[in-house]
Amino acid sequence: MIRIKEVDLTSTTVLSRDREDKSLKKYLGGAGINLRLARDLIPQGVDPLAPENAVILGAGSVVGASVPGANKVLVTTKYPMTGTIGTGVAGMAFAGQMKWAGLDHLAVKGRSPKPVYLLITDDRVAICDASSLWGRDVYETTDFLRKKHSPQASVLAIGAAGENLVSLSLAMVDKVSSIGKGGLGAVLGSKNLKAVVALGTGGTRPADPQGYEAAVGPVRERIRNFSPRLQWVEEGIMRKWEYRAAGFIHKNWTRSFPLAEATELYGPEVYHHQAKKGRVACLSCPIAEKEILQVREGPFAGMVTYAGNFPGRVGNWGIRCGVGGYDRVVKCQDLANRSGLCAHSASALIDFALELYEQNILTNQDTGGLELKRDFATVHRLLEMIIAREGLGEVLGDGYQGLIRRFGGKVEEQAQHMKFMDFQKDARKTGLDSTEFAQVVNPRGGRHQSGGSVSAHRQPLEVLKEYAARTGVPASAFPRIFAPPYGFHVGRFTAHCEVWYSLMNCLGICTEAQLNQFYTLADCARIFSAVTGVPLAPEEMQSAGERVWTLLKMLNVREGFSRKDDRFPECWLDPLGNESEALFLTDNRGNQLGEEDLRTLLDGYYEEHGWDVPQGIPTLERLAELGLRYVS
Amino acid sequence: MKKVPEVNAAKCTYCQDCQLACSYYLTGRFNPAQARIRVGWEDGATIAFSEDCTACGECARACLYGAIREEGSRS
Repeated sequence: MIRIKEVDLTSTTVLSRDREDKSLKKYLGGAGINLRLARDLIPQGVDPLAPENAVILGAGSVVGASVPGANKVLVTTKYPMTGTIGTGVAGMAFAGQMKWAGLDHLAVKGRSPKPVYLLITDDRVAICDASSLWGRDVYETTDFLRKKHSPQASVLAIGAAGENLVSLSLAMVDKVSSIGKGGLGAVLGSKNLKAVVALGTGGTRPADPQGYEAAVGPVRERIRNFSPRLQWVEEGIMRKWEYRAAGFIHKNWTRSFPLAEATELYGPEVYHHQAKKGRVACLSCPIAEKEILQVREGPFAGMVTYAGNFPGRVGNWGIRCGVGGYDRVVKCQDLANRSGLCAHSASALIDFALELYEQNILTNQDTGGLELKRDFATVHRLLEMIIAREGLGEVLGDGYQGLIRRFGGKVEEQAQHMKFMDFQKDARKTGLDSTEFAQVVNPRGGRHQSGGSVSAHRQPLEVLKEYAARTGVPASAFPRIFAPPYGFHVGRFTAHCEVWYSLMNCLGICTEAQLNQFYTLADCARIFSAVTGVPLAPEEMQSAGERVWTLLKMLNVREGFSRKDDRFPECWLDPLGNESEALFLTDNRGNQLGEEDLRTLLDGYYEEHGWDVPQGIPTLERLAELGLRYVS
Repeated sequence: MKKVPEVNAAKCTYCQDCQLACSYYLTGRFNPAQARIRVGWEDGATIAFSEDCTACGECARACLYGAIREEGSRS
C-alpha cells in the first residue's frame, strides 16, 4: 500500500488517498508517484502561484531502511521561474522521518488564509498555526520547530524569499539541503505554508528481511572496502576542487576564470584555514557531502552556516560576483540559506546585471541610483533587494523572464538561460558531455543532474561503457551510442542517463557520483523488491524509469513545451575568453561542434527515447508502450 | 562493569545508521525513536547510549566512519 495524504489548505481538510501496490510497480515510488499524482492534481495551464497549483512531497521508496545513500525527499510542483513542472530533490532526514511516520507522499493544494505549517507524525498530518513564524528566517524557524516538537524532527522551511514570492526562491531541509530551485519557496509562500515538520516514531521494516540482507549487504561491503572513501570524507567536498574550479566562468558566460588564481584565492588549503568547520551526512550516507562552515576572522567571525557543493558556492559568490574572501563568501551563502534563496540563480542574475551595468545597458536610473560594482557591499545589497522585492531586486527576483519583460532588447539578446532557468555547466569549458547536454533537454529547465556524472571531463570510452553497463543501458543501444561520426553520441547517452536518474529518484537513492558508483541496476531491483515487497526484475525497473521520465516530459508537453524549448544557449556558439586561447564548443573527444552537430545530437536524443524527432515529444505509440496513453 | 562501544564523536557525521541498526536489531524495525544510541550534530557531534544499551555491538558494525568501535568498556 502506498500511503498518501492530501491536504487542502483552503478548506483545512486532510484526506487519505492511499493507492495499491500496483502503482508502485509501475511508477516505483518517490518521483514516479509524485508525477502520477501531479498529473491529476496540477491543472493544465495553472498559475504556479495560484491556490490550484499543488505541491507534492514524496519519500523515495527505499528510504529509512538503512540503504546506503537512500535519503531523498522529492518535491513536485509547477515552478514560477520557468512555468515548467519538475521535481526537486533534497537529502538530510526528512524523507526518513516521513517513512518512520508511515507516510509515503503528501500532496498540498489550496491557500491558507493565515500562515501555517504542517506537522507529519505517526499516520497523521496536522495543520498548525505559523503566525509567529512568518518573517523569521529558515534557521530560526527550524530551531523553533525542533524545540517545540523534538530535536529529532526534520524541517523543510522557507524564508523571506519564499514569503515574498521571489522566483529565485527555494526551500531548505534541516537548514542544510536546498530543494526546489525555480521558486518552490514562492509556491509554498503563496499558500501561506511556512514549513513542513516530519517526526515519525513507528519506524519501517523491509517486507522481505532475508532478501533485504542479501540485496543491501553486498552494496554496503563494496562501500566498506572502497579504500579512498575515508580519505574523501576527511578532505570533504573540496576534493572536487579542481574539477569544479576548472569550470569557473564569470561576466555572464563570457570569461573563463583562471584555475591558478581561483586556487590561490579559494583553494582547499585556504578553505581549511578560513572556512571549514566540519561535515554532516544525509541519512545513511557513507560519503558525508554536506559542509559546516565557520568564518574565522573579520566582521563576521564566528558565523556558522552550511552548504552542499561548497566549491560551487565559491564559484557563485567569489568568482561570478567578486565579493572577496571566504568571510564574505560565507556571509552571502548564509543570507541565501536563511532567506531560502537559490545561490546559483541569484548569483547568475546578479552577475548578469553587473555585466549589463558595465556595458551601460543598465544605468543608475534602472538601479534606483545604486552604483553596481563587483564587490561585497553591492552584491549583499542586491541580495537584500531581491529577497525584499525592492527596486531592481523585484525585477531580478523574477529571473530572466523578469529582466527581459522589464528591459527587453539587448537584455534579451545577452540573457543566457535554458527555459528561463540559469544553468551550471558550460560545454565550451568541459566538452559537451551528458551533464552539459542534459541541461538543454531537461523538461524542468537548466538542471544537469539528470545527465549522470561519470562522463564529465572527457572520460575514456571504456569508463563510459562500464557506466552504461552498470546502469542497465541495453546492449542493443551500445552500437548507437558508441558509433561514428562522434564515437560517443552524447544525445543518445543522455537519454539513458535520464532513465537511471529517474529510477534513482523514485527509490530515493543519491545520484552523486561518489555514492552512486556502488550501485547497479540489478542492485536497485533487488533492494526495491525486498524493501517494498513488490517483486521487480531489472528490465521492469528500467522500463519504469523510462515511464517516469516520459511522464515528466508529457506533463510539460501538456504545458506547451516541445523541441522549440530545448535550446542550446547562444553563447555556446561563441568562443569563451580564456587566459591564453579562446575556447570553442567541442564534443567530449575535443572535436569542434557547430549548429548542425547540435541538431544531429538532439535528433539522436529524441530518437533514443522513441519520441517524435521533429517535435521532440513522445509519440502516441511510445506512450502506449509505456502504459501512458492516459496522459496524451 | 558493562561493555559499551568505544566512541570517537569527532568522526561521527550523523548519518544515523547506528540508530537504525540498533533499532532493527532490537525491534525488527528501522526506527531511530526506539534506538538505544542517540547521535546529534548541530552543537558539535555527540554520541550517547541509553541506560538500557545491551552493548550488542550492532551500532559499531553499522558505522562506516569509524566513530564507534566494539572494544570499549565502561562502568
